Amino acid sequence: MDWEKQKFFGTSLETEDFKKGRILTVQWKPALDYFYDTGIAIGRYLEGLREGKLTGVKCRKCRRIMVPPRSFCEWCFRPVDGFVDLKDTGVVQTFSLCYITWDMKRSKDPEIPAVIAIDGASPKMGIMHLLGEVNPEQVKIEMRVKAVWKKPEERIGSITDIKYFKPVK
Amino acid sequence: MGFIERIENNQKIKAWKGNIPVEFVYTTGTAGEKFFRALRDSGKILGSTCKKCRTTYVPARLFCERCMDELTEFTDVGRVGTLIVFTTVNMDARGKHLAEPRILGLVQFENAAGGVLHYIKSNDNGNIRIGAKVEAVFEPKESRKGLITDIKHFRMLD
Repeated sequence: MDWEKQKFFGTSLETEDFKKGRILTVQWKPALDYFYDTGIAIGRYLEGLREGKLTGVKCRKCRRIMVPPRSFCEWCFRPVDGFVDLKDTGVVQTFSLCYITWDMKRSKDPEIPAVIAIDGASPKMGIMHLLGEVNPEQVKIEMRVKAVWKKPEERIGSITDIKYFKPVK
Repeated sequence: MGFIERIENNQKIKAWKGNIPVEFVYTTGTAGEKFFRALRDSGKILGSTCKKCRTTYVPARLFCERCMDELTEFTDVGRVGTLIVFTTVNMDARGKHLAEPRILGLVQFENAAGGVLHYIKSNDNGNIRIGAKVEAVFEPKESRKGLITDIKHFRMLD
């Protein structure tokens, strides 16, 4: 359909009309603060990130080591059997080169989100994070990567305590 | 193990704090534009009158909800209205106690449907009652912004 020629009812407004104050507006910014309980498994995971390590959980029945931690095994439907420290290295399972920012602006350098299977966890068990210090053209599936952490004093117990993963030989 | 955890260190992470950044810019609309411009530029409270049923709506709007007719006639309803209902508010929107309680009330204007919800200022003797005549007190012209707060409050006349 030719949207340019289509006629609509109502008053059409341009960004300029807002910027230059040609129309009257009411502005409002609600304060939407929230807190949610992390639960035991994710709480321990975030605590580990603050200390600079990745944490997983293990299930004795199916012998899987899972990351991120969860409080029950979804295969065996039973509580997991404890926490395991994992390495901060892994293997790229899948990735994407993203040239659009979250607020839909074009960017010159791509963000590279990737799913990384963490060493020490069961095969293909991994987390989603960003890749960095890498030429976008050289990112490959099966590439070995290592976490680049923030400085200990800057860590807050968040997944962003890892800045990104960079390739290792 | 059955995940039961004793809290031995209260500094460990138990909750995730976040904030949802949401902002609104709400356009006042065709009739709202007329209403708020009159408020800002000439200190008038505008209503819109229906040609068919002669109902005047305050604040001004674009169509008559009784006749579904477009409203093109705008009338100044004056600054004096009647206090229909009021309440005393002791807390702000976030639950914090206000230093001074504020009175909110609905003001209706003569021969007009609808009304304006606004702050009401009581007499010096603290007297306030339903049915009393109240008058709009405007901000000085320089500081008006085209918002309903261009009216500071309504003051009791009697």
